Amino acid sequence: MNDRTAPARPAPKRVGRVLTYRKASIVALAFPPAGVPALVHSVRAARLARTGDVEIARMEGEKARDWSWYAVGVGAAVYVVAFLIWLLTTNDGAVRKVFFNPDVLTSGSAWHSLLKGFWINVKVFLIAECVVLVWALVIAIMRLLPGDACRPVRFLATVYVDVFRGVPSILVIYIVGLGFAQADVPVVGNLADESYAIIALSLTYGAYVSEVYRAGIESVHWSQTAAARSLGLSYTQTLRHVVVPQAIRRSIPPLLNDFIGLQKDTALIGVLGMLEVLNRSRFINNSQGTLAAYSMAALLFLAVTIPFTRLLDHLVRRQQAKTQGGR
Amino acid sequence: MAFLEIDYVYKRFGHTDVLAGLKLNVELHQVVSLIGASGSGKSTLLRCINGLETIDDGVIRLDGDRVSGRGVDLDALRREVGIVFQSFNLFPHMSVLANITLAPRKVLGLSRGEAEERAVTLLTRVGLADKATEYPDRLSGGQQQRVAIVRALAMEPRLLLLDEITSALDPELVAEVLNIVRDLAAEGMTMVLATHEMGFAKEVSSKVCFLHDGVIHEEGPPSQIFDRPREDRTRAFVQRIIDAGRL
Amino acid sequence: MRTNRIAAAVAALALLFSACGDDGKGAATTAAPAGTDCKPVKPGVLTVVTSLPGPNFWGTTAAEVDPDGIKSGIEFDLATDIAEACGLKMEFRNEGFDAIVAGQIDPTSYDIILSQVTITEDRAKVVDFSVGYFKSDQGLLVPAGTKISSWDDVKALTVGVQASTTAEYYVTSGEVPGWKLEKVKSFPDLASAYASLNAGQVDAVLIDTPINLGQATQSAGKLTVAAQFSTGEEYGAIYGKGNGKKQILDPIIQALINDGTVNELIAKYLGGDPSSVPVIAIPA
Repeated sequence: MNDRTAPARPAPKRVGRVLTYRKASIVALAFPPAGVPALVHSVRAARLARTGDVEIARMEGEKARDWSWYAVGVGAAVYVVAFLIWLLTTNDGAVRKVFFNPDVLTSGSAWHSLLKGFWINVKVFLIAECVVLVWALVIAIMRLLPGDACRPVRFLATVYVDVFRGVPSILVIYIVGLGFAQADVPVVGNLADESYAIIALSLTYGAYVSEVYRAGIESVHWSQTAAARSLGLSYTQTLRHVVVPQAIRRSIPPLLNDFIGLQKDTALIGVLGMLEVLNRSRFINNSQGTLAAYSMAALLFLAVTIPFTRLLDHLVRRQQAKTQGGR
Repeated sequence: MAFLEIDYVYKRFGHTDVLAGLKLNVELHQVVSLIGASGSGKSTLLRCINGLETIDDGVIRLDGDRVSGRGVDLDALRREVGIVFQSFNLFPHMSVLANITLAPRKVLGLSRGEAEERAVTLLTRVGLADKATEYPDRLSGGQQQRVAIVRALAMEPRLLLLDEITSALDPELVAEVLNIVRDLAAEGMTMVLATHEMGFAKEVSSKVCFLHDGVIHEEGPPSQIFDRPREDRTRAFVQRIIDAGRL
Repeated sequence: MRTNRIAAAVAALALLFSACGDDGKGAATTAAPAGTDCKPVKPGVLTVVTSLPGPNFWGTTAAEVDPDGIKSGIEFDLATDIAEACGLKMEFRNEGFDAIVAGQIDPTSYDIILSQVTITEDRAKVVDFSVGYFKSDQGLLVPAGTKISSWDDVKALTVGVQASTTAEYYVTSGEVPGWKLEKVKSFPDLASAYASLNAGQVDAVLIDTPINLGQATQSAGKLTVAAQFSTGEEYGAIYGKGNGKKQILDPIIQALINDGTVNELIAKYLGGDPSSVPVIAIPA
């Protein structure tokens, strides 16, 4: 086959072996519509490699790889959807009837009742978020105050953060909502249920967000503080004009993340009695004999948290472009 | 009594004495250059002068007042002493104008109009008036450093400290920064600069100090230090500079 | 972005103030004012607390999905009648059941609680009870066709109960002779217990017979109350401990019992007579 009298041609360079993606193709058979082509291409690639048609063998190998990836991507999606369909139809449609009862899902008066209740949850988390934004900064700064004289202050702040991050939100809601009213504390002993809910959630999430702020403040390079102090700015002025503005910008993504948690935790405030969305769900469930109202309440929460998540993603991307794009 | 007196100052980091009994006097309107190998204590000395670092022993006096040790009003000290850093340290979330006017407004109590007027005047002097509304990340290194100098000057300090202000710059940007320092020297600003730019130090300084082992090994006019050093170490150091083509 | 946040905060704060004390309530109008001065905590209104849901006691079945729209029910009507006797409108609000029976509802915030609460000694330590207005034994709700002829049959089942109820106490505490069951599941609310029963995860739900009867009616025949167990218990309304409401309102309730109103309400709403459910004795 090699004609030594023909003009010399440079031998085709073989860079490594020909990749046939054999094992991937076999695994891809778990999803035959894509797995079978994958295996076919991979077998061809192996055969062609042996006969020396390296270039075509490589292309066949690549095709085998691409089909294997389709098997993973499309296959996984198909299996998940199939599972969901199975879940909803199995056992004579038990899951569907219990959680997705169509009569309840399409009941205008049910949705109307739930929306009325959800408005309470929305009010509570909007106000709590505003409170937390400020309160958490106070706690964060308390933890960062320098000097021996401020050690008791730092200690108090640390205890606060430990306690309110460590106690489940629902217990805080119970204790604040039922306990304060009982104890006959002036002013605070006589508030509406929603106010107690706001206080309880602000206490809990104030602790989480204060850690976010603290991390943000500590992430501002010390050279910024050095430059500010060197200009004669006081400790407070430095914090206020130089450090905190930069810290807050960095804190926004993890902060919004905690806010999504706060929004979901408003589902717990019903233990204080007000007819917010979860209590109303229970009422509907009870009168209709299903759990579909829980699914409806879940949808309401998603309607709020998903846009929030997308906003969060957008802000993170914009911030990364700013710091890593640069000049 | 000199304007700035550094009297046998010690500064310890861990087990090492970065400053080991350093003594230095700076007169008004003098330009003093600190040269020496990396780690010889140049930057540390500057940071001790404006109180960013505390000293472990010795005294620093500014115009007769003790400015080191306990009980010193550091904010007041820093109104008199300006510093420019190697890495510029501009505030990234503020425009150039805001960077410059922040301290005059909040510390000196100038109104916004007065502060901005002062800022624009200074920016014009350094040729950056058109960048007033830009943000630091849009400027070149040289431009940022010039803004940093203007920011320090806006406080009208009596003493200006320059901590290797051209070391982080690309070579072609160094000249524009040094021009400003030259002008400041001509105007009589008292300055202490730590630098590797030996040619510049030779041109602009009243006095050059060679730091080694935490003390000033030799000090004198530039012609002495660079052309006729008395100490062996000084000679060796200068020779290395010349061999590296930087003098 | 900053101005939007501030605007949202201001709007939210304004709404908060308007929301103070506002909650899901129903209201009933009265006829001509009648005699007694009931000293209501809120002028012109009889403030009633209950723990929703309470099918057939507050709201009757499938039509009412909105607590604000409740217009009927044994305790709703009873509360309305009491309010009428006081010459007041009736307003009600929702609270958590475990807070109610633990005496945690601020006595200055309500006049009377009507929430299918069984009178027990322990509860009487923290709240005042009215006269019993409703005999409640514990009833067992099971899928139609389940045969319950003895307590042993019950022991073989997994029984669901609601937390903080007397049913839960009876079958889990071990302090009532003979009642303790091994296979018990406790649910935070009744709806979950019923859902669990419908899903087959528990075999039965044990709670006051009238409540289970209401659920059986709602199930249109799929569930029945196969048996009940005598406890001698009654429902009572709750007043704040020692705040004097008992003296004023108990006579009104007693009058409604005496003149047959309560029995009429029971017959009207229950759609099943508790006395028709077979009673099974529990061996001690």
